Amino acid sequence: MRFRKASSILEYASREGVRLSGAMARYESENSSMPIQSVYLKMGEIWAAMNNSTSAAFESPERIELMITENDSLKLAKGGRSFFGQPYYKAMQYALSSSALNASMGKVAACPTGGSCGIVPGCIRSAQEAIGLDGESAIEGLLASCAVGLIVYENATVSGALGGCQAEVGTAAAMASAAVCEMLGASPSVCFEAASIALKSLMGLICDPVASLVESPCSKRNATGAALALSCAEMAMAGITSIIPFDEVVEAMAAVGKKLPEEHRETSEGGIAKAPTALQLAMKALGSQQD
Amino acid sequence: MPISIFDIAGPVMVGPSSSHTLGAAKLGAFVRQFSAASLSSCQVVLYGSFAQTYKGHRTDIAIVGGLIGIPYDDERLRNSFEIAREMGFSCEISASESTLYSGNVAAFNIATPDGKSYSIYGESIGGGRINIFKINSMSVDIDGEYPTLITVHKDAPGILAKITQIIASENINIAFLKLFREEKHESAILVAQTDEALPPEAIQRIAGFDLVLEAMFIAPL
Repeated sequence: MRFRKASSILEYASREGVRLSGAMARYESENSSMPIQSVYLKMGEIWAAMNNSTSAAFESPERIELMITENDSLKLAKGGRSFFGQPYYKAMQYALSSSALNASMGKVAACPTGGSCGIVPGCIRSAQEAIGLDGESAIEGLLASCAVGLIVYENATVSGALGGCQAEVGTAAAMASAAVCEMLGASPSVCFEAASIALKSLMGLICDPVASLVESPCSKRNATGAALALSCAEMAMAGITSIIPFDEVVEAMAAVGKKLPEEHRETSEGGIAKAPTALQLAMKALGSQQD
Repeated sequence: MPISIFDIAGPVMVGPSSSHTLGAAKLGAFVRQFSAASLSSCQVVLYGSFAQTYKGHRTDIAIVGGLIGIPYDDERLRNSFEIAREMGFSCEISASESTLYSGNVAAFNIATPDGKSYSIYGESIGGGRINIFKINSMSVDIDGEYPTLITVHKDAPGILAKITQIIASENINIAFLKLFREEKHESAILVAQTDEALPPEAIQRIAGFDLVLEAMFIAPL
């Protein structure tokens, strides 16, 4: 079974009368010859690792070893007070935790990449808590997010070195928004509307890591990517559509990625990585690593 | 081939980068298995993007972790240098300024216990996937996704039949089979990816053939 376009997934889901999570579980089951039940179990294992990563930074701060950034997840946990809504706040706190753990060589689940690993779990856990859903809902959300990731994999790239940060954080935010819509009971098409809005919102974002570390601006982009994903889910759940279908948004993202100059594709030769302060931080961080 | 959803949400790994850390650890793990876990030292040269960003992305730490057998989802990976020292494993890693390769490429120079030297070239191609593309001067193509039998043998008639007969006698199905050689009647490499792992006795029988110089088994990375 192969889906190259979101439109094919939508057709399949409608023909078979399944939700987006169900369509992806069948896709994996058929291709891997794994029973459907095992697909859910294996996704449950991935979720367990993700879920652990979302609280590591504030529950076990000793596991966090960062070179140039601070444990910002811990700051949000200690701050504890949101001005604009707890689910947004928590999504950022969780996303920052996974991101910090990733940068510390901790155990995370790539989703779709290591650099963007906080966005999907942060949103799923926050949505779960906000709506009061069970563990199974997280697995369904994750499965639905894979439909979005799959179409990006098939038609563009999720690598920052190839397509810039839009391919990593952009894809992750699109996946997360679809996950949350699925968890809220939305139809497959609503999930893809949310994903389209998210990917459009981050189109053109370059990959410009300071000191070639996966810390800045990566970790805060995990936090803002998570908040953005929740915004897109809110809009899609209210019936707002993207106007441009997801398949065309992905094509546009792929084209933009190809046009990004090499200095904006993970080489640390452009963007924020070349700011004077960034260069100083790089000298300090990489100098000390040589000892 | 259709992409697995577990490569989209997943894999579970030690950070920070699927291509620079996970892929690097897998390259190390391949070399470890290629040498039947017998190495006490290794010399590694990084090229391309690996050479530029290896410190920030902890590529060097991940490679050593793979070489000494730390799984890529084990947080001890971050202490691989110390663990290697305790084990008496020495690894010399250097970055090449050569523009020969632009991707995430690492070259491993090793000597096996029976005194054979190998240079193994591998690339991390994204999402934690790897490709071993050169062994000594021979171009190969090995992704480590399946149980894999690798033989280095003399290019001669009948050798393939002998090897596949042993695989067949174990009732194991070959998923993909590739042969590589540089010149007629010189040494050649066979790469057989199977659906199940070959038992050690079968590998030994293959290694015992006259024309086979070496036979190794690589478990999926």
